[in-house]
Amino acid sequence: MKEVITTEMKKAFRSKGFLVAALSGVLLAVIQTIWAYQNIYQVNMKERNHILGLPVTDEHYGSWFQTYIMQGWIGCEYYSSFNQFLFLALPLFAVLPYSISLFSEWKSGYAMQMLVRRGRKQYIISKAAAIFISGGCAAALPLLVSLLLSACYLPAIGIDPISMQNVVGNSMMWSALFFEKPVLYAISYTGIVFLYGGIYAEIPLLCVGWMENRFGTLIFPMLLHCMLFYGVYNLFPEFAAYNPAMFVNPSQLVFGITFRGIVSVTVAILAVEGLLLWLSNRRRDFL
Amino acid sequence: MKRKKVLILIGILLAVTGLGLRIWYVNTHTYSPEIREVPQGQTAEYCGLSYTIVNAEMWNSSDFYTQHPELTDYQNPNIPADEMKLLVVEYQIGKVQEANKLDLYIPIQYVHLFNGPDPFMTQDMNPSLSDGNFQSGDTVVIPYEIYKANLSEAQWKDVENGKMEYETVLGTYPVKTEMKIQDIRYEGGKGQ
Repeated sequence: MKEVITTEMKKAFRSKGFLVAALSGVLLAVIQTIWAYQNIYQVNMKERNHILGLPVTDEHYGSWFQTYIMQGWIGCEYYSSFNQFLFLALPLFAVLPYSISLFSEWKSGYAMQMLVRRGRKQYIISKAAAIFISGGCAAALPLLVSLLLSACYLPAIGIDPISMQNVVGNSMMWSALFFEKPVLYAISYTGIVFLYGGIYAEIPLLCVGWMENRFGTLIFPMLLHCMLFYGVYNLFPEFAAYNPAMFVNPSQLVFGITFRGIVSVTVAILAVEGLLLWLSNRRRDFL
Repeated sequence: MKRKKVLILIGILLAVTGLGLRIWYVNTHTYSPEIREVPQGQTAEYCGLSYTIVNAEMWNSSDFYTQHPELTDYQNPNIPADEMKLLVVEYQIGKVQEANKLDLYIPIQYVHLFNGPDPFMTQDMNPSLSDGNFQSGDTVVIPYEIYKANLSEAQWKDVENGKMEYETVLGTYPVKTEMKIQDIRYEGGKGQ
């Protein structure tokens, strides 16, 4: 089992898809950092110089706030559209590395060879693990790179709430971390993004038995994500806090998100994915 | 091949060290303001004016509007009375120099929140200032609305029990003056 998992992992992380997803993610983080440096940090520093030049009795004197790491990190930077783009394209980043591999291997006949040599259970579980981890890494990479780059010019201290630049409010999930230990908040939320990258990456694997079109299989998670983000959210706004397309964003787009809620939804989705994986592979035994 | 690997390793080590040093530098050269804490009753100066907190009262929303029926227009009917409180702070304002504009937007901060006052309600609570003139020594009463929805359960309990710490903030940089609101009278008593 270990040998098959290692092989699948190597294949996943050395695939062209992973390289494309990783480079795209890094590029997005770099461009966003350049934008944030020029339009947030430099503007803020110019304002500081202006404020310091005013006389003490001037009504504008004394009103300046330092820019903090969370204002530059792509996960919580909401001055530009990079955050929205990243979280809209998240399923695409996740499926690019390796999600389509089983589809290709069934088509080429390689999968059949593996089933005979290693057994269905070993092969499918190893494949699912490699897809989950590579998809999660591809989704989390832009966030980690952005955090690292932001830390190179913004201090890793919490936002002063009086500046009104905080996207996470006091009553929201992990607000204490956001205000007091922002790096820990970013890393913890990147963990959630990793999980959902993995979850999205698994979807094409579950579709292999039912979908014939390669492009359709690849794009399906993104369509599902858009449906959750636009359709389900607008139809059932009262359940927005339990909508993965909403709570996966570290900016916490809606009120009422709780860690318990995220865990419950994630466990339910993983159970459904596990069941579908089992069902789709059971069905092939009869074919 | 081995030499290439060593060179890559050295490159990685140099990059990590460089990044680490840069991050260390950024975090040791921040533009954090000097925090000046002023206990209640003492005077703080800001923008040519002096401010002293002379009184602070915490009201249950329903009690406050019963006591001040002329202000009921400001009562939000969509928020249950027991999910909102009003902290009414009385400031004595002095002129450090003549010809100064009185800015009544004086926020308070508590936990990870800040409240600015409702400017219209402030205006109605200070009719003597409506002509735009004020004298040194005049008092200004500013109401701050505190909502349960913005706080966690534990924090709201602290508000009810009188354990929450509030500060008036005057200026944010280069000096952030925090005037402590320590002596608060709880109209209707504290919660249990």
